[in-house]
Amino acid sequence: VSLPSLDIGFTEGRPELEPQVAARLLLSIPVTVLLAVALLDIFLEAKKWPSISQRLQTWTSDHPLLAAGLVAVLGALVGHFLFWQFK
Amino acid sequence: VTRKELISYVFLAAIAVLMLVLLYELLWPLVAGGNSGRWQCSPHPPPPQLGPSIGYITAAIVFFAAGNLLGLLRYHPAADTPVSVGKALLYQAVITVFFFTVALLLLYEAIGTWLTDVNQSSLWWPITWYVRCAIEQAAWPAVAAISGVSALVGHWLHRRPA
Repeated sequence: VSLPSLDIGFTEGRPELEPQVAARLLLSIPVTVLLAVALLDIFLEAKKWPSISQRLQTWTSDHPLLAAGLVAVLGALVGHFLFWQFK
Repeated sequence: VTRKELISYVFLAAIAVLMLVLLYELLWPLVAGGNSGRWQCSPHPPPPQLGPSIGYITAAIVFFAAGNLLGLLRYHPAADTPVSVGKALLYQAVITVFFFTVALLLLYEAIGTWLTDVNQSSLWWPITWYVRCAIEQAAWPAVAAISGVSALVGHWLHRRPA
Protein backbone atom coordinates (compact mmCIF):
# COMPACT_ATOMS: atom_id res chain seq x y z
CA VAL A 1 0.00 0.00 0.00
CA SER A 2 1.50 3.29 -1.05
CA LEU A 3 0.96 6.12 1.36
CA PRO A 4 1.52 9.81 0.71
CA SER A 5 4.66 11.13 2.36
CA LEU A 6 4.18 13.42 5.30
CA ASP A 7 6.78 16.05 6.06
CA ILE A 8 6.09 17.03 9.63
CA GLY A 9 9.13 15.80 11.43
CA PHE A 10 9.28 12.45 9.72
CA THR A 11 12.44 11.12 8.16
CA GLU A 12 12.89 10.51 4.45
CA GLY A 13 9.24 11.09 3.66
CA ARG A 14 8.20 8.00 5.58
CA PRO A 15 5.66 8.39 8.36
CA GLU A 16 7.70 7.55 11.43
CA LEU A 17 5.81 9.49 14.02
CA GLU A 18 6.38 7.60 17.24
CA PRO A 19 3.26 5.71 18.31
CA GLN A 20 3.26 7.23 21.77
CA VAL A 21 3.37 10.73 20.25
CA ALA A 22 0.66 9.83 17.76
CA ALA A 23 -1.48 8.40 20.56
CA ARG A 24 -1.22 11.63 22.54
CA LEU A 25 -1.98 13.82 19.52
CA LEU A 26 -4.87 11.70 18.34
CA LEU A 27 -6.53 11.48 21.74
CA SER A 28 -6.17 15.22 22.22
CA ILE A 29 -8.52 15.87 19.26
CA PRO A 30 -11.80 14.71 20.84
CA VAL A 31 -10.70 16.15 24.20
CA THR A 32 -10.15 19.55 22.57
CA VAL A 33 -13.53 19.43 20.82
CA LEU A 34 -15.31 18.54 24.09
CA LEU A 35 -13.45 21.29 25.94
CA ALA A 36 -14.48 23.84 23.31
CA VAL A 37 -18.11 22.74 23.43
CA ALA A 38 -18.18 22.85 27.25
CA LEU A 39 -16.68 26.36 27.28
CA LEU A 40 -19.10 27.53 24.60
CA ASP A 41 -21.98 26.08 26.63
CA ILE A 42 -20.84 28.05 29.69
CA PHE A 43 -20.75 31.23 27.57
CA LEU A 44 -24.24 30.57 26.20
CA GLU A 45 -25.56 29.84 29.69
CA ALA A 46 -24.14 33.13 30.96
CA LYS A 47 -25.73 35.00 28.06
CA LYS A 48 -29.07 33.28 28.83
CA TRP A 49 -29.11 31.86 25.32
CA PRO A 50 -30.28 28.31 24.65
CA SER A 51 -27.28 26.06 25.24
CA ILE A 52 -25.71 23.58 22.85
CA SER A 53 -27.07 20.85 25.09
CA GLN A 54 -30.57 22.27 24.77
CA ARG A 55 -30.31 22.39 20.99
CA LEU A 56 -29.00 18.85 20.88
CA GLN A 57 -31.74 17.68 23.19
CA THR A 58 -34.34 19.26 20.94
CA TRP A 59 -32.74 17.42 18.03
CA THR A 60 -32.79 14.24 20.13
CA SER A 61 -36.50 14.66 20.82
CA ASP A 62 -37.15 15.18 17.11
CA HIS A 63 -34.95 12.25 16.02
CA PRO A 64 -35.01 9.58 18.73
CA LEU A 65 -33.89 6.81 16.37
CA LEU A 66 -30.83 8.76 15.24
CA ALA A 67 -30.01 9.56 18.86
CA ALA A 68 -30.34 5.87 19.74
CA GLY A 69 -28.00 5.11 16.85
CA LEU A 70 -25.43 7.54 18.22
CA VAL A 71 -25.63 5.95 21.66
CA ALA A 72 -25.22 2.54 20.01
CA VAL A 73 -22.08 3.75 18.21
CA LEU A 74 -20.67 5.15 21.45
CA GLY A 75 -21.46 1.94 23.32
CA ALA A 76 -19.93 -0.19 20.58
CA LEU A 77 -16.77 1.92 20.59
CA VAL A 78 -16.43 1.83 24.38
CA GLY A 79 -16.97 -1.92 24.36
CA HIS A 80 -14.53 -2.40 21.48
CA PHE A 81 -11.81 -0.25 23.02
CA LEU A 82 -12.14 -1.29 26.59
CA PHE A 83 -13.62 -4.69 27.00
CA TRP A 84 -11.68 -7.80 27.71
CA GLN A 85 -11.69 -10.48 24.97
CA PHE A 86 -11.60 -14.22 25.02
CA LYS A 87 -8.24 -15.48 23.84
CA VAL B 1 -28.01 32.53 40.22
CA THR B 2 -30.85 30.03 40.22
CA ARG B 3 -30.50 26.38 41.19
CA LYS B 4 -30.70 25.28 37.58
CA GLU B 5 -28.04 27.75 36.51
CA LEU B 6 -25.80 26.61 39.35
CA ILE B 7 -26.19 22.96 38.26
CA SER B 8 -25.34 23.98 34.71
CA TYR B 9 -22.26 25.97 35.66
CA VAL B 10 -20.90 23.31 38.02
CA PHE B 11 -21.47 20.50 35.50
CA LEU B 12 -19.99 22.35 32.54
CA ALA B 13 -17.08 23.75 34.55
CA ALA B 14 -16.28 20.26 35.84
CA ILE B 15 -16.27 18.91 32.28
CA ALA B 16 -14.11 21.82 31.08
CA VAL B 17 -11.60 21.39 33.92
CA LEU B 18 -11.47 17.64 33.32
CA MET B 19 -10.77 18.16 29.62
CA LEU B 20 -8.11 20.78 30.40
CA VAL B 21 -6.36 18.42 32.79
CA LEU B 22 -6.49 15.64 30.21
CA LEU B 23 -5.10 17.95 27.52
CA TYR B 24 -2.27 18.90 29.87
CA GLU B 25 -1.55 15.23 30.59
CA LEU B 26 -1.61 14.40 26.89
CA LEU B 27 0.30 17.29 25.39
CA TRP B 28 2.65 18.65 28.05
CA PRO B 29 5.17 15.78 27.76
CA LEU B 30 5.41 16.51 24.03
CA VAL B 31 5.99 20.21 24.64
CA ALA B 32 8.41 19.68 27.52
CA GLY B 33 10.38 17.03 25.64
CA GLY B 34 12.64 14.50 27.30
CA ASN B 35 11.67 11.05 28.38
CA SER B 36 9.29 12.00 31.17
CA GLY B 37 5.81 10.69 30.64
CA ARG B 38 6.76 8.63 27.61
CA TRP B 39 4.37 5.87 26.74
CA GLN B 40 5.59 2.54 25.52
CA CYS B 41 3.10 1.60 22.83
CA SER B 42 3.44 -1.70 21.01
CA PRO B 43 1.52 -2.96 17.96
CA HIS B 44 -1.52 -5.13 18.55
CA PRO B 45 -1.93 -4.10 22.21
CA PRO B 46 -4.13 -6.57 24.10
CA PRO B 47 -7.49 -5.41 25.50
CA PRO B 48 -7.66 -4.80 29.26
CA GLN B 49 -8.14 -7.70 31.65
CA LEU B 50 -11.67 -8.69 32.65
CA GLY B 51 -11.69 -6.85 36.01
CA PRO B 52 -10.54 -3.46 34.71
CA SER B 53 -12.79 -3.89 31.64
CA ILE B 54 -15.84 -4.17 33.84
CA GLY B 55 -14.67 -1.13 35.80
CA TYR B 56 -14.29 0.99 32.65
CA ILE B 57 -17.65 -0.06 31.24
CA THR B 58 -19.32 0.55 34.60
CA ALA B 59 -17.79 4.04 34.79
CA ALA B 60 -19.07 4.79 31.28
CA ILE B 61 -22.61 3.63 32.13
CA VAL B 62 -22.75 5.41 35.51
CA PHE B 63 -21.52 8.73 34.13
CA PHE B 64 -23.77 8.45 31.07
CA ALA B 65 -26.72 8.08 33.46
CA ALA B 66 -25.47 10.93 35.66
CA GLY B 67 -25.12 13.24 32.67
CA ASN B 68 -28.57 12.23 31.51
CA LEU B 69 -30.06 12.96 34.93
CA LEU B 70 -28.41 16.37 35.03
CA GLY B 71 -29.96 17.09 31.64
CA LEU B 72 -33.34 16.33 33.16
CA LEU B 73 -32.67 18.70 36.06
CA ARG B 74 -31.38 21.46 33.80
CA TYR B 75 -34.13 21.43 31.23
CA HIS B 76 -37.28 20.45 33.04
CA PRO B 77 -39.87 21.65 32.25
CA ALA B 78 -38.98 21.67 28.57
CA ALA B 79 -39.17 24.99 26.81
CA ASP B 80 -37.90 25.71 23.34
CA THR B 81 -36.81 29.30 23.07
CA PRO B 82 -36.94 30.71 19.55
CA VAL B 83 -33.50 31.83 18.36
CA SER B 84 -32.33 34.20 15.65
CA VAL B 85 -30.98 32.93 12.33
CA GLY B 86 -27.43 33.86 13.38
CA LYS B 87 -27.60 31.90 16.61
CA ALA B 88 -29.24 28.95 14.88
CA LEU B 89 -26.35 28.92 12.38
CA LEU B 90 -23.84 28.98 15.25
CA TYR B 91 -25.52 26.00 16.88
CA GLN B 92 -25.71 24.12 13.61
CA ALA B 93 -22.01 24.84 12.95
CA VAL B 94 -20.91 23.61 16.37
CA ILE B 95 -23.00 20.46 16.17
CA THR B 96 -21.85 19.80 12.61
CA VAL B 97 -18.19 20.21 13.57
CA PHE B 98 -18.68 17.82 16.47
CA PHE B 99 -20.31 15.10 14.36
CA PHE B 100 -17.81 15.70 11.54
CA THR B 101 -14.93 15.14 13.98
CA VAL B 102 -16.52 11.90 15.16
CA ALA B 103 -17.01 10.79 11.54
CA LEU B 104 -13.37 11.59 10.70
CA LEU B 105 -12.12 9.63 13.69
CA LEU B 106 -14.26 6.64 12.73
CA LEU B 107 -13.02 6.87 9.13
CA TYR B 108 -9.44 6.92 10.38
CA GLU B 109 -10.18 3.90 12.57
CA ALA B 110 -11.43 2.02 9.51
CA ILE B 111 -8.37 3.01 7.43
CA GLY B 112 -5.96 2.16 10.24
CA THR B 113 -7.58 -1.23 10.79
CA TRP B 114 -7.38 -1.97 7.07
CA LEU B 115 -3.75 -0.85 6.68
CA THR B 116 -2.45 -2.80 9.67
CA ASP B 117 -4.28 -5.83 8.33
CA VAL B 118 -2.67 -5.45 4.88
CA ASN B 119 0.77 -4.60 6.23
CA GLN B 120 1.63 -5.73 9.77
CA SER B 121 4.37 -3.10 10.06
CA SER B 122 2.13 -0.23 8.97
CA LEU B 123 2.62 2.85 11.12
CA TRP B 124 -0.94 3.99 10.53
CA TRP B 125 -2.39 2.39 13.60
CA PRO B 126 -6.13 2.20 14.27
CA ILE B 127 -7.40 4.35 17.10
CA THR B 128 -8.15 1.20 19.08
CA TRP B 129 -4.42 0.55 19.47
CA TYR B 130 -3.76 4.08 20.67
CA VAL B 131 -6.65 3.98 23.12
CA ARG B 132 -5.57 0.62 24.52
CA CYS B 133 -2.01 1.91 24.82
CA ALA B 134 -3.25 5.00 26.67
CA ILE B 135 -5.36 2.87 29.01
CA GLU B 136 -2.40 0.63 29.73
CA GLN B 137 -0.01 3.53 30.32
CA ALA B 138 -2.34 5.94 32.10
CA ALA B 139 -5.30 4.07 33.57
CA TRP B 140 -6.76 6.79 35.81
CA PRO B 141 -6.67 9.59 33.23
CA ALA B 142 -8.32 7.09 30.87
CA VAL B 143 -11.10 6.48 33.40
CA ALA B 144 -11.53 10.25 33.77
CA ALA B 145 -11.77 10.64 29.99
CA ILE B 146 -14.29 7.81 29.66
CA SER B 147 -16.38 9.30 32.47
CA GLY B 148 -16.28 12.85 31.06
CA VAL B 149 -17.16 11.84 27.52
CA SER B 150 -19.95 9.52 28.68
CA ALA B 151 -21.42 12.20 30.98
CA LEU B 152 -21.42 14.77 28.20
CA VAL B 153 -22.97 12.44 25.63
CA GLY B 154 -25.55 11.26 28.17
CA HIS B 155 -26.31 14.89 28.92
CA TRP B 156 -26.70 15.84 25.28
CA LEU B 157 -28.83 12.91 24.29
CA HIS B 158 -31.27 13.31 27.13
CA ARG B 159 -34.77 13.13 25.72
CA ARG B 160 -36.98 15.67 27.36
CA PRO B 161 -40.53 14.70 28.23
CA ALA B 162 -43.08 16.27 25.90
